[in-house]
Amino acid sequence: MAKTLFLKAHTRKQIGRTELKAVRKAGKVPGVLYGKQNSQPIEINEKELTTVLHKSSSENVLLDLELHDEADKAQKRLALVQDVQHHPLEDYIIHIDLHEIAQDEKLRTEVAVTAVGEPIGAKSGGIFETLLRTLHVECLPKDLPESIAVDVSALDIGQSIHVGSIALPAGVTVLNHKELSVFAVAKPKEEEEPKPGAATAEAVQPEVIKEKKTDEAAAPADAKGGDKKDAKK
Amino acid sequence: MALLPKRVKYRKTQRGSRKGFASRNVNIDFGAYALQTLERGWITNVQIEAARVALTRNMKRKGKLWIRIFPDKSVTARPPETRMGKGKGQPEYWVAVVKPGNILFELDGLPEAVARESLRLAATKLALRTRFITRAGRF
Repeated sequence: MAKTLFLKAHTRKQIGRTELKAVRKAGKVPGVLYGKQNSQPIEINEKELTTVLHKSSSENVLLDLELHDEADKAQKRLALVQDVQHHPLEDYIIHIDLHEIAQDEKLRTEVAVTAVGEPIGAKSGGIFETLLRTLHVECLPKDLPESIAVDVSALDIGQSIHVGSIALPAGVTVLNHKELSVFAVAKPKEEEEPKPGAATAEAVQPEVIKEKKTDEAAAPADAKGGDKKDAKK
Repeated sequence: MALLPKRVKYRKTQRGSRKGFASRNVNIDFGAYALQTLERGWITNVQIEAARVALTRNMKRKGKLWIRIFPDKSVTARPPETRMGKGKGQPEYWVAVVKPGNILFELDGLPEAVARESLRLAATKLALRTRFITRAGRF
């Protein structure tokens, strides 16, 4: 089951790119908390957030959030990490989305599927393919799994494991179509060697869409113009 | 055969801007390992093809490969020993515009060591600094 981790957050007044830059410079991560109530801009200490996220081995992190308002009055909230935006190169967190949930209400989220073991088909030259990396599940927060492990060691070439055949933890229902393939072992593909007489890339030129259209458009326009001229005469 | 578009609206394009960081095509969406660019620039269709060949040879056709960039921009050149003027040159080759953070190739179904070596070989075919990243490495 997914761990519930403690995290402190503060409500945020600063909105907009320039002001958020100042928030990030002060060592905080801007975020938003939404759910059944109105959405609330928040800010979290970057170090604390990074530590909490590193403690979790999956993307499903349940947070026992202590939300401080402007008067430093604390409120307890339960939230699920919905989305984390990273800088494309530096990898630091730019923004975080938290989804407020209730302990007694079912939630819908994506749970990672992991393969356990090496398929027989892969050992004999097949290509092991992961077709679905997450499952869309519905469950109570207390039943939320960190990930779903699937034993793939019996998979041979041409075989696949479908959503319907995955054993789920108690209290978890899957919402994906049951016939969707999750893991498969495909036949190895043979690469086609280019023929020596084949046309080179330089010789081939893409078709130009516009020129065709202009030719087509020009013809009726000329005809109309011609008609007008004729009418004037 | 090197990649190039099937149909285009205009044969010749302006050089365009390459400023800023990548905002799209920055996540590993298909495979488990990827090659990410750290610099901005143009990657030609010939370079992409050379990298693909290097990758598939080292992978020994075992894993699965995704090419996340496509050369959709034409680059024109003037014939040698031509005087200035007389209009823009003819399209010579095709390039993909990349910005820091763009994912170039993705791999799956391979041990990490093989994927790392394959992407290293592919990176040598490109004229940009790149890095190897994994799906598990981020969050």
